[in-house]
Amino acid sequence: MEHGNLIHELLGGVAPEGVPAWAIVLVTAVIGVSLLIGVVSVIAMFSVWLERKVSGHIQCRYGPMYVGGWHGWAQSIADGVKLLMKEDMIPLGADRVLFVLAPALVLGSIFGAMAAMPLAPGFYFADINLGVFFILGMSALTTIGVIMSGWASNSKWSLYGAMREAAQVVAYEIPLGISLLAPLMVAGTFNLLEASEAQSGWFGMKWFVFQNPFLIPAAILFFVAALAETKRAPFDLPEAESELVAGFMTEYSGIRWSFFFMEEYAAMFLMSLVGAVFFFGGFESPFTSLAEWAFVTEAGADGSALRTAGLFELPLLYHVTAGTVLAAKALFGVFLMMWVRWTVPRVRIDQVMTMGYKYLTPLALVVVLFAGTWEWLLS
Amino acid sequence: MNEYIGIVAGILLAGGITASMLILSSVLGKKNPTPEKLEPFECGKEPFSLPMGKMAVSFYLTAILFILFDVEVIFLYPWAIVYRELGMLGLVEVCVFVGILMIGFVYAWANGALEWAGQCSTGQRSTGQPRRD
Amino acid sequence: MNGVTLTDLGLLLPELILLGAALVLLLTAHRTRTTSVPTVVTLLAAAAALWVTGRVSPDAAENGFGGMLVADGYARFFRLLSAAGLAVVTLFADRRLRETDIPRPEFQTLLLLASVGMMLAASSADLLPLYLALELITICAYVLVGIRVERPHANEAAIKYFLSGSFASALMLLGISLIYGLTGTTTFDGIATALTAAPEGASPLLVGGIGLVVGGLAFKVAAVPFHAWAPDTYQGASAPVAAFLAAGSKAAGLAALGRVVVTALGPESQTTATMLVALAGLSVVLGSLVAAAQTDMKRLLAYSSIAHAGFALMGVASGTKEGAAATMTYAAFYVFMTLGAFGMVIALGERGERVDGYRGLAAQRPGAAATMLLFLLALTGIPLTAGFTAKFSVIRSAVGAGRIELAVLAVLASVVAAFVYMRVAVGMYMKEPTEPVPARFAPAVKLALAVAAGMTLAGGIFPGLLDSWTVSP
Repeated sequence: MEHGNLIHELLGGVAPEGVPAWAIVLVTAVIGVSLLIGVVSVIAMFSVWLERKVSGHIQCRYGPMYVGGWHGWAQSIADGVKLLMKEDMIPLGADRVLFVLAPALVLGSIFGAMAAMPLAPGFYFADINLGVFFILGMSALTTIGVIMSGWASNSKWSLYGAMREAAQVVAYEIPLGISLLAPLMVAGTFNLLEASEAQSGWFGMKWFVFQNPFLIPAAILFFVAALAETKRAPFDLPEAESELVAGFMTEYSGIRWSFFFMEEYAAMFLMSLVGAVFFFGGFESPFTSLAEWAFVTEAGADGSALRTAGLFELPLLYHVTAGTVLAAKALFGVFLMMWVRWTVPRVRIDQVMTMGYKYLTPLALVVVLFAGTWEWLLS
Repeated sequence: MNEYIGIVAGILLAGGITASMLILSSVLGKKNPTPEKLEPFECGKEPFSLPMGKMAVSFYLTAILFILFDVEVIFLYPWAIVYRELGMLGLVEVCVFVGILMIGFVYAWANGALEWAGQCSTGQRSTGQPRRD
Repeated sequence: MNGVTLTDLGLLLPELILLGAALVLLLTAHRTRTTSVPTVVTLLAAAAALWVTGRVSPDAAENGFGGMLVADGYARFFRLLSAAGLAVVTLFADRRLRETDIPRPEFQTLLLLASVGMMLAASSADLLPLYLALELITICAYVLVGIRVERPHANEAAIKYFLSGSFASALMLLGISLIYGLTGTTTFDGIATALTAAPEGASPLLVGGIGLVVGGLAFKVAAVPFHAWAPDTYQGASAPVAAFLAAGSKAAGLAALGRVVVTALGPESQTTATMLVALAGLSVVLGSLVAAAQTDMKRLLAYSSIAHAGFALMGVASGTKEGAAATMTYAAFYVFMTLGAFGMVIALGERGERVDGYRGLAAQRPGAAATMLLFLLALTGIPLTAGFTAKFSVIRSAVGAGRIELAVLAVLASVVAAFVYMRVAVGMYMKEPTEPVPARFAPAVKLALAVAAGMTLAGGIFPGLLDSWTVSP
């Protein structure tokens, strides 16, 4: 069912007479996107901490334990403050403009991509029809930033890292895009809200992967391609600390380096969100269905209540539940990515390219054609 | 067009936040550049080569192949959206389309365009040249 | 517009045959690189396309793909011409491909795809498919020109051709968008209707649009002042590719030009006629004069092809259906004459690529010299060869349209051109041989030369040979 934009409705309620509609939309967007970026930054910092804990436990150690008390929860904040105070250097011979611009472009494009991402049914700021297209396009911009950083650094390690990034990302962009075609075929829309809407029913379990069996291999392909797109191990060749020092970020320090770091975790979260929306039900889960039944009044066409509230008239709680469900799914995806990183060794560049072009691309095409046939047989 | 206000606001805010963090850092951080510190990294030694050499041609080949497939994927996206309305005709037409592209793909594969230069697994040394089969 | 039906695809049968052959060759390229399979497949596909096209009556006309393509007598004529040209070039190239390291499947695939483009250019009834068809031809041609990667000349030629060609394509696209903006449609019929209904006098914007489209097409046929790429490209490309460019590519450009000028821009025939007369006059004069100064045979033939493009344009320039039919006749005979001359260049190898390489050929190889003489006479336009028939028909159409000055210019230029071709002939018959006897010609080359010579002779002896086939759009 349709849900209005919560912030927009709130503002519309308190705005004085005579304020034009676009102004309310603008204020909604500014407030909303600020909130969104805040949420994403917090989640990225949380993911950094999570990664250290996960890797620690996989390697039979504890990870950060002291800062902030309980299991070192404030470690990332402390790191962030420290990085902010560091000296930021620009190496001799570097292209200063590009060198400074690159990390900003990398982080900015991921934040920009987030603008089209709904975090809850009523918590969205750009309900555009091209949703997933925009997200993929903006997140592909990070590659430009990485190549810029490698080119501008005047260091051979950076350049090698950047070239690897370029080759790897263009190779995996294809299976990523093709494997997304399968759920798009089922959903029939690029809009993420509508895609999530299309999965409601079956008591919150009408996920696309359960609607069409060929979406399961598509989801696996998407996961592998997303690993490569976000430069995560075993595809972390652009960084490859054992051969390229730190790849494209070798020459970066301080806050600019932390931008790359933030971008990596934000991109992981973003890719997991896209995967969650297009394969694993979006906001939908049994909890969401329960919350919808309990807290939301369904309105008829004439505005009268069709059904009295199950228990309470508290739509906000429903939105919080739905948002939490989506965030939980996405964070589980992030956790899977970390698990893979500490389990699988890094592959060589020729293996990366072979896998991308020779296996994943044809496989993805076959899966999409099979998924299409299944859809056609069902209809 | 109102939906796109959010996109514009998002991009502007993202740029603003990153820029303000950069400025904040340059205000808070110290400034003590020394010639040694500013040198490109080279394991503590003097840098002995600068990154002006040629890259292996495979990187460019990959980029060219990407154009082929990316155009293909772009064409497939609108198709996927209206797939249910097109029905069987849509499926058949896309099979033909993908089939023709796959012939190009098989051609590239069979003629070694997908082999990474100097694959370690075959014991060849990297020469920076594509293999000529 | 409805979906594509099987009847629509049926209209494209000749193109589909060639396309299928090209895809088969691509798919098997890694196995057939050192065999004759690509040549055989191409010849079979060309023969099948000829047969399928020839079966249709010249008077039949059918629309397809929502009016974007039309299969009428005009399209049929140029389809036959492209398929025949493809077969002849393939026969010529076979020996050359065997001797050099040109990858054979790729070469034949590109030839096939370029021929598909030529066929589509002749049957397009809309500016956009026309543009796509022309791009298919030129993109294949760029690669064909540079296919001998190890030769700097070929690389230079390919790059020059590519840069000027893409520039011309872009300008033509701009012209198409101008015409689309002014008429609101890209179909030829729609443009003609809109231009007829438009108020008196062509707006400068429309003249600009027409000029850009005609200029883009003139680039394809290498008419002065859009000819600069031709000599360098022909010289750098290997001889079979140059033959293909001079014959097929030019015929396709003429086909497209004829249909655009006569159907779409028919109501603006004053404007197009002015442009085409200028193009034709300049090409005829400049091509003939500059050809006289050449020492490289491929360059000489390039300038000769420029002059011939001018002659062929004289037919379309008259703006009448008879004019278009004259251009068709010219294109057909010219294709066989120039293919024959290029075939001799190919057959003689390195020696054939120099003008002085023909010295004393008559003493060494009387048969070859006589064949070459036939093609040279035909290119000059001597009676009893197809060249005379072709020139006669275009000059008659120019006179019929009241372009006496253009006709006189063409006749004078023919006299200059005669000097160019006779220089080679004199070398063959009146000079002592300075070089060893050339190797025997391969049977495939002999066959192709016989086809070209046969057409050239038949066209001269029976001037009405093509009359029932030249159905103007």
